[in-house]
Amino acid sequence: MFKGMKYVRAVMIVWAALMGMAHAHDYEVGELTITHPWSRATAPNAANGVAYMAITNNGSSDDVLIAAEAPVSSRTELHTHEMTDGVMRMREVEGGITIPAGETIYLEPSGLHVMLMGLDDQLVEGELFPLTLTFQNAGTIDVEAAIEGPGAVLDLHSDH
Amino acid sequence: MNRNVVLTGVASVTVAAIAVAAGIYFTRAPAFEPVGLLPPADLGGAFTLVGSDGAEFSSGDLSGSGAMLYFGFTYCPDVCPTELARVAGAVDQLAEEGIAVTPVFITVDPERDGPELVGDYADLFHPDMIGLTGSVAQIEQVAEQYGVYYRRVEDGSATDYLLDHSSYIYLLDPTGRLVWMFRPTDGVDAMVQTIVEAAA
Repeated sequence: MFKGMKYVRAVMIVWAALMGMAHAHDYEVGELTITHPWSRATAPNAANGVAYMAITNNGSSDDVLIAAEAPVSSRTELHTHEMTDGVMRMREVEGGITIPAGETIYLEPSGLHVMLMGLDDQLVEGELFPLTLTFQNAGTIDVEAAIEGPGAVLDLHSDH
Repeated sequence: MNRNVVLTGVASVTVAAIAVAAGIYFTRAPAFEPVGLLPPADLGGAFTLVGSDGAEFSSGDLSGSGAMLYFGFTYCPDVCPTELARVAGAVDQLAEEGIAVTPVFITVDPERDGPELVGDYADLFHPDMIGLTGSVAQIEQVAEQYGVYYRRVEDGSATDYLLDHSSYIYLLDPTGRLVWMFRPTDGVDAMVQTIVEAAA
């Protein structure tokens, strides 16, 4: 009896998650497609936030994400992340994030990400904030990041 | 799971619910592989820290329920939220199984993370999550007791630094004894199942 309830609940939750993704949004700049920039809600007075997205290079030459800027934070860095022997290390990516020709690079939890440092305001779930991305070849594009839950993990790999 | 588009705000619950539903309705043979690590015998122990109200909080205040401890820092926007959402999801699922576990976040960055910051940060992930800080010495001691590695990444700035840190979830039994550790790669449903089986 309880197990039946769990099944109904599972279906409803999956449905809700899929409805949430109906708001997935894409941007094009040059040969690049930027898929669903998103972020995570933060606590009041939190100093740092994060932004994730998928970037597809439809062209025949590599491009590089060299900078990201967000008015919600005083500065941003492009970070990568590695785990060895259970220790998490976050580091700035030197020289930007390369998007190889014909490939998709995922900025995602526990991997590459845009780190927003020195947030002016709390990031609130359900809201959007602007983000400006600068690529070596494709130039600059303004996108909006959708703020998801505080520990959200969106998987954009099946979004194509 | 990699093929699905999932929000982990709800995903931990979703994954477990799907696993439960799938186990019951389709396979009827729930495959069970315990996940995590048996902690070295010398790890763990009682601690006294500072709660989000600024008052002393000791591990004895957790007695009567199990606890899941995670050590991180509030300036961490990527890994720590992922792990704390996993803790929150596991705690909710365990509650459904009748197993009371209190989620606990302990900062390893006491110089920046005061009581209010750790409290707000913990609240973000679960209404029952307890956020703890302490003096530098208190945090050093509890980290040593639990084998938590953390190190400030020096970039020349006094306030704008990052920390390397180990990322395990520590499971305490209702007497406060460290009984198990989970790794970031351990799925929430598998963590829950491991605890349910062990408690059976």
